[in-house]
Amino acid sequence: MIGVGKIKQYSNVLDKPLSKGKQEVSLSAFAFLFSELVQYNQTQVDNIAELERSRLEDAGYAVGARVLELLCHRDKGNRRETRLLGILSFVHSTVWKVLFGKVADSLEKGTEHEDEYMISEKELLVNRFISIPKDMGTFNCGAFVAGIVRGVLDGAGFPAVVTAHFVPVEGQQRPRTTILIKFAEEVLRREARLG
Amino acid sequence: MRFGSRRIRTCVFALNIRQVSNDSRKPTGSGFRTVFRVGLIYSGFIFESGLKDYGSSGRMDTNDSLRVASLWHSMHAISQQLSPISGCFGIELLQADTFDLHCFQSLTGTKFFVVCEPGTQHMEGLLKHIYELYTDYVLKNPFYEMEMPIRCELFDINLTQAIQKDRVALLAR
Amino acid sequence: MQFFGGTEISPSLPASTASGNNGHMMYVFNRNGVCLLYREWNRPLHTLNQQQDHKLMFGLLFSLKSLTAKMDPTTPDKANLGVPQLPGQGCSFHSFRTNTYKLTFMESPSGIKIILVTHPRTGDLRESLKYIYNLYVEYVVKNPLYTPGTPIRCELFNTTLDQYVRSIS
Repeated sequence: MIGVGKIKQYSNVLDKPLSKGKQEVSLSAFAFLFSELVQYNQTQVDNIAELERSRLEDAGYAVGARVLELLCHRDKGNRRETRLLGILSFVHSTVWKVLFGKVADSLEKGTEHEDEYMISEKELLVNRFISIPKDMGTFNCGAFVAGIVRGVLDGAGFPAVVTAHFVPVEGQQRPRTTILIKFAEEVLRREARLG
Repeated sequence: MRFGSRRIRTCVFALNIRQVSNDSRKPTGSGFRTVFRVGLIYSGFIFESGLKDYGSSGRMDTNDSLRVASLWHSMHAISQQLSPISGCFGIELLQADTFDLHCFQSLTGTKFFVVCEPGTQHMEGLLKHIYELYTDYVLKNPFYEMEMPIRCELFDINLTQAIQKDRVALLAR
Repeated sequence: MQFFGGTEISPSLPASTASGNNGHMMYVFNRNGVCLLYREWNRPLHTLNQQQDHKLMFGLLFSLKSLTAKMDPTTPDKANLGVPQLPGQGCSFHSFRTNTYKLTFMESPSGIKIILVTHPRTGDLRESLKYIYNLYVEYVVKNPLYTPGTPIRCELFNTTLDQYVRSIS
């Protein structure tokens, strides 16, 4: 390239240092990009469920798969979590911190079902500026984040169904967002075997 | 209808918070201040939202506020034409017998206005804050269609908060 | 920053001085919209010819008046927008300000409208307008040679007016 002389050129992307420095993206830039992503996908679907389940979640899934790859390389010395609680706390703290700059508000085990776990956020970053119109019912743009979580879990060998829900909080105007993780049967069986 | 190179952009949402003093007609000096109405002029639509105990006296029906908004837009443009000096951006403050109207125009020609009790201070700051809320909670919302009435829950919540906070600050003084 | 409708005043404006000379121009209209008097002290910018300028000013006042009457938050029953109102009827306005000028407006019970355009940072001029109205009564109305409804051509009124407006700070 002409005129770029001073900037060091890496012939191979893998030679680039994986800097752990603060690499924050402008929240506004992200908000506008995410807004466009939702708007584009809205034009491509027939119903809201499709937008939530397949479109946003799939977009997130791709992010999750990559994030897992990157973080295992950076933080774990090319190892991955193999235990259920290990991978959950990896999502709750490491992944969350890299993506949203903070640890998730809470990680809980479902009371009714053994295979359900919940990650809750008082205000999910992607939902910061989004008001859901009344006619869209329980639609939640957190489906994108649910997709990321599913991508991470799937890549690490913990297939699960992940969904995002609004949960009203007493004394608060705004509901919080809960990411519900329902692990596949095989995961729990394996976990039981490992003891 | 065009004025200069700017398109007519008219839309209002209005919000009214009545003052808490017993006699609402009597201005109480430096004590109670009322923000009667907050508006946004934009693109051929009028929108009123968050009508908190609006009261019959301040109410305008949709057609009326549409007319008022488009009239205000033309007045704003004409006031620029009548300036004795070049570089006029239009009316910033209109002082009437019973209220003050502060107007703020963004780069794109969207007008924000606040109708308040005569002599209320620091309305420019409030308007700029409302503009900020608009860019955050309306423009970044994927479900908002440009140039349509604003129905964004988060915007309403934050707007109400901003005005209440403003009032608390005034009362505390 | 001129982007935001301009709370700041453009630097080219003459600084407001204590010695006065803040007046830009003045209009007097009667109730039919006839411009009885137009005085100009400092007006570098003319966008229109004089007749159109007067028409536009009267239209602006008329519309702003009906707008304020309609927007008045304290009166429940209001006439429709654009319906002419009698002097003193409904809520009216007394001034507006842009980044380049301030316009102060007064309407007498007989429908005489006095408009004074000054520097944007001048204070409340309602009393000054009352004084000018007083001058009008003294030197114009009491002048036997003046026919009501015709443009004002009274030397004495003009000189006193010029003198007075110069003293406004």
